[in-house]
Amino acid sequence: MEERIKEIIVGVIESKGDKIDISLIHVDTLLREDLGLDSFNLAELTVYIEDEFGVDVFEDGVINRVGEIFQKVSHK
Amino acid sequence: MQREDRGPYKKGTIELVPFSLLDEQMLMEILYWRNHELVRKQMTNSNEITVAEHINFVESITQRQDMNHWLAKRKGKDCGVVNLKSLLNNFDEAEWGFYLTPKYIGSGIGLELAFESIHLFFSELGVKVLHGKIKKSNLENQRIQKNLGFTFLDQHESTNELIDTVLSSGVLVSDFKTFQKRLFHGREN
Repeated sequence: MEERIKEIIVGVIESKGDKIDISLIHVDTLLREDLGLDSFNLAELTVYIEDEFGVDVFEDGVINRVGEIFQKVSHK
Repeated sequence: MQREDRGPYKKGTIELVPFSLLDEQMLMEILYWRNHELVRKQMTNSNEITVAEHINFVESITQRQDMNHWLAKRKGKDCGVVNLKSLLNNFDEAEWGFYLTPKYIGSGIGLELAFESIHLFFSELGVKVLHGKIKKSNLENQRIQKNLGFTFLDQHESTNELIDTVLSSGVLVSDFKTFQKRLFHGREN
């Protein structure tokens, strides 16, 4: 699950023309500050994760770290 | 749109509840959101609103037939405020705006709130042309509106800080899921 989420994140980053090595994404990685995702990218991320896992990760507000996505999906 | 038809309205995951149906506690919560630093800096008027100004404003809009302010809920949770003001012919042309609660700023749900609200305006409230204003510094809102199909007009004359935008009904697709797929999956449809 965590690897798949990381792949989705990499896909969103690449869709905006950037590149990142998946090994650099950890539980404490910040979505905005470290990965450069803006609210539009986060909207994309929400769609992809909900399509794959059936979880709306931003339903309760802002998520800042990759690890918080892992927690939300695993607690479904 | 008649004065009585202010809502609540539902579209997709979004519900719009008119200020006239909110209790004092909720209205004060909205004032807190509006004055939050993260919200104020995105607003065309970035001044803090006093309690007295807020109360007077809420009372005035319940009396006016050309303005609507709604509490926005997403999947039943308060997520922001949406407003609509008639510019011409009882909402044939109107100006809109929205802000998210501080809790949701940066969450990515602004796009969904904007889309469903606009879809509601066009499909149920009879709006044909929608106008907006965005701060030049608000790049994320600019990106949202460009992707919704808004045309960006000339720089606002008076303040030099705002951009005028316009969207006609018929440009927005009718379904958010279709819109998501178009936008996020390479415009399949």
